[in-house]
Amino acid sequence: MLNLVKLTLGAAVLSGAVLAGSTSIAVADWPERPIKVIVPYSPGGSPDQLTRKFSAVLAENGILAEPVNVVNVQGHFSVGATEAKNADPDGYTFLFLHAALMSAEVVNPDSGVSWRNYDPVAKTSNFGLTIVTHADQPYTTLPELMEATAQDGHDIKFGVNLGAINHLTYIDLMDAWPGSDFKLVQAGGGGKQYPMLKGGELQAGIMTSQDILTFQDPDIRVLGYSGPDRLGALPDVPTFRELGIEAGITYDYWWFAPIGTPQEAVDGMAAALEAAIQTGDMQAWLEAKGLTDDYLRGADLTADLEASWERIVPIANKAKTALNR
Amino acid sequence: MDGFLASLIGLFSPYLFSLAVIGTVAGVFVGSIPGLSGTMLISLCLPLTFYMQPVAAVVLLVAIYTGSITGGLISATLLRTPGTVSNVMTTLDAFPLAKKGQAQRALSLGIAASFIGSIVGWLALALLAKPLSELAIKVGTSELFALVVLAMALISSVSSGSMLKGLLMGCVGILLALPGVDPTTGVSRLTLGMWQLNGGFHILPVLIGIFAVAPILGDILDLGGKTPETQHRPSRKFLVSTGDLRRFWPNLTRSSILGTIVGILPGVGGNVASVVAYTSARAFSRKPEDFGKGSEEGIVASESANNASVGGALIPLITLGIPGSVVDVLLIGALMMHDIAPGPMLFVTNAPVAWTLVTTLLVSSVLMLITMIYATGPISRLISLPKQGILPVILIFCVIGVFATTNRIFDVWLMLGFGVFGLVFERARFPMAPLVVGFVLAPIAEKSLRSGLMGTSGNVWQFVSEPLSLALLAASAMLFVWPILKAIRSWAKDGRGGSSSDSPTD
Repeated sequence: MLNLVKLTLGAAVLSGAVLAGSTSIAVADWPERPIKVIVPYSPGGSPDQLTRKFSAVLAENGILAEPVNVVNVQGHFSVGATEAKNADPDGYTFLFLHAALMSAEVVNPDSGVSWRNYDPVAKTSNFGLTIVTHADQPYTTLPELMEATAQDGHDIKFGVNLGAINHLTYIDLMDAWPGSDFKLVQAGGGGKQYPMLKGGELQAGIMTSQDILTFQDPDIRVLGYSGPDRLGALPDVPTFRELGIEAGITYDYWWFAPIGTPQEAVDGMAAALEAAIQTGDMQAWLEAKGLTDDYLRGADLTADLEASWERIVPIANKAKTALNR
Repeated sequence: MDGFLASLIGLFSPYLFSLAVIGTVAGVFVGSIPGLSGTMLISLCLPLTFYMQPVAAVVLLVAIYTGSITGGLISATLLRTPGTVSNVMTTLDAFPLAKKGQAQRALSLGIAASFIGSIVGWLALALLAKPLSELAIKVGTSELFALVVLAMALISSVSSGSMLKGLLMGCVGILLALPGVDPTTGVSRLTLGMWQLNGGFHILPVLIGIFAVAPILGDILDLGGKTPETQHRPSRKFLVSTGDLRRFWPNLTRSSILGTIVGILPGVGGNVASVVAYTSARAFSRKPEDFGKGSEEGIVASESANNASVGGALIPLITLGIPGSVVDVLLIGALMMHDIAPGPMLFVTNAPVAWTLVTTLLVSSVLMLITMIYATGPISRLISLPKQGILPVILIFCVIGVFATTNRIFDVWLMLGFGVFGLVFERARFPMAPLVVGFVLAPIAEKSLRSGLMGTSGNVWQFVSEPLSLALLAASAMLFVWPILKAIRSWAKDGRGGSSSDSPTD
C-alpha cells in the first residue's frame, strides 16, 4: 500500500516536472522558484477554476519557468485577502479576487479589507450577473418581472446574498426601475438560490453566468444579463440596456501583490498573465464559462480600480443601509 | 440500463480499474490517519485530474471519497482518535468496545455497516436519484430548520452521564459555531477583533483538536504512570455473522436511510449523517444507557450512515449540479474544468460521466470492503507500536492534515488549543458528543431560520403551518420536555431525598 502512495506521489511530482517546461518570459531573476497565488475561496468554485486555468495555461505554454500554485484559503474571503496582505512581499505571493474586496470595505469595515492594501498587478476578465426566474413563473421578460413587482408590491421572493456583489447588482437594477419592490430573501450565491428556485421558495433570483452554465437547466429562465454585450455562451439572453433598463454593472477579476513587491515580479506576472489570456485556449475557455475577455495593467489598471471604487461605493452604501434596516 | 452496463464494463479496463483501486486504497489509508482526510487528498489530487479524461477523474475522486470515509473507523476503534470528522460518533463506542478486548468485533461491525450503508446509498443513487432530488428540493427552509432542531433536541440523548453537562456542552458547541462573518448580513460578529476569525472556526481544527489531539495529550500525560494498556491487536477474522444482520437490520436500515437523506441535503455530509443516525439509534434503542460505553448499535448507526451519505450526496450533484457535501464541491470543480456542466442535463450531454459516477460508487464500495478487511491487520499493527513512538507521528499528521486543508498556521494553533480544551473538559467528565452536535448543526439551523423568516417578513407561522415542519418541531418539543417530566415524576415519587438513576442534577 505504501508503494501505491509512493506511486501516486511519484506521478504528482512527475507531472509537476513536465509542466514546469521551458522558459520564455525573461524577466531578470524572476521567477526563481514556484509562485503562490492565494484564492480566498474554496476549491472548485468559479474563482478557483479561473485561477487554475491560468496556472495550467501558463505552464503548458511555457510562459513562466516556474509553476503557479493555487492555494485556497476558505472561510470568509477577507481571511485569505488579509493573509495575502501580510505575506512577505518577495514577489512569490499573489492574490486573486473580485469586487467583493471593495463591497466588503464599505459593508463590513470590521473585516479590515481594502483594495488599497495591495499593489495591483493585472485585471484578467470580468463577469456580469443574470436575473433568473423559474420557468413556471408567468414572467417571460425582465420588464414583465419588474412591472409585476412594482404592482404586486412585496410579493415576489427574490434571492440574494446580502452585502455581496449580487446584492449590489440587484440594488443597481432596482434604482433603474422606480417602484420595484421585491421581497428579498437571504439565499447566497447561485448555487444556493438554484434549489430554492426549483423548490418554489424563491420566484426570482440573481446569479452569475457561470452558475447558469453550470446548471444548464431548462427550468431556469434567464431574463437578462448585466453586462454591456450579450455573452457568446448565452446568446439568447438580452442585456439590461437592450431591454431599456439603464442599469448593469460588471465585476473584474484582479490579481494583486503585497505592497512592496519588487516591480520586476509585478511586471513579470502581469506580462505572463497577458500572454496567457491571449492564447486561443484561454479565450475559448473564457467564452465557454460566460466570462468576458478583458485585460489591464499598470497605470491603466490603477485608474480603472479607482473608477470601479467610485462606482461601487454609492451602491455598497445603499446595501449597507438596507442591511441596517 | 445500457449506459450503466457500458460504464460498468468500461470501469474494468486496466487503466480505470487501477485508478479505482489506487483511489480506494489511498482513501482508506488517509482516512485511517487522524488529521488526514479524504477532502484533503481530493483537494491535492484536483489539479492532477485536470490532465486526465473526465471519466478517469471521476473514478479517482469518487474512489478516494468512498475509501476515506470508511478508513477513519480503524483509528477511531484502536486509538480513540477518529480518522476523519465523519467517524467522530464511531469513536464514542468503538473505542470502549476495543478496550473491553473486542477490537476485532468493533472493526468488523464497522466494516460491515459501512459496506451496507454504502450499498444503500448507492441503490438510492442508482434507482431513485430523480424522485429523491425532487423531494430534496421541496425541503424548504422551514422543514430544514425543524429537522435540525429535532436533531439538536436529541443532544440530551447523546450525552451520557449528567444531562446538565451535556446541555452545557451542546451550548458550547453552538457558541463555537457563531464567530465569523454573519451568514445573513455579511458583517463580522464575535471575532474579538481578530481577522483570522472572519471565516469562523473551521470544522477540522475544532474536531481534530478535541477528538484527536486531546486524547494524544492525555496519553502523553499518562505515559510512564499507569501500566501500559493491554494490546488489543485485532486478528484478521471477520467477526460478523448473519445473526448480527438479523439483530441490527432495523438500525442498519434506519441509519442508512437517514444517512442517505442527510447526504442529499445540500452542503451537509458524513459528519452530520453520523450525528443524526447515532442520536436516533440511541433514541430507538432498548439499551440507550450502553451508548458511549461500547454499544454495538452506536457503531453500526454511525458507520452505516456516514457511508450512505456518500451516495446520497451524489444525488443532487448528478441531478441538479449542486453539491451534497464539501467533497462534491471539489467534484463539480473537476467536472467544470473539463467543460462538463453537472446539472440536470448531465445524463443527456455527458452520459458516460454521469454513469461513471454511479458505477464507480458501486465498484469502490466493494473494493473498500476488501481493502478494509485486509488493511486493518497492517494498519493496526502500525498503531499498536509503542505509544512513545506512535503519538508524535500522529500529532505530526494532525498538523499536516489541518494545514494542508486550510493553508493556515493559525488553524494549527487553533487545533492545539482545542486539544488542550478537549483534554481539560474530558478530565472534568464533560461529554464531547453534544458539542459536536451543537457545532455541526447550529449553522444550518441559523441559516434556514433566518432565510425562512425573511421569506415570511418575520412571521413564524410558516414554521408551524407546514405539516412536515410542524411534526418535526412537535417531536423535538416532546423530546425536550420528556426527560424533564420524567425527572419531576421520579422526584415526586422518591421524595426530595431519593436519588434516581437519571437525575438531571449533578
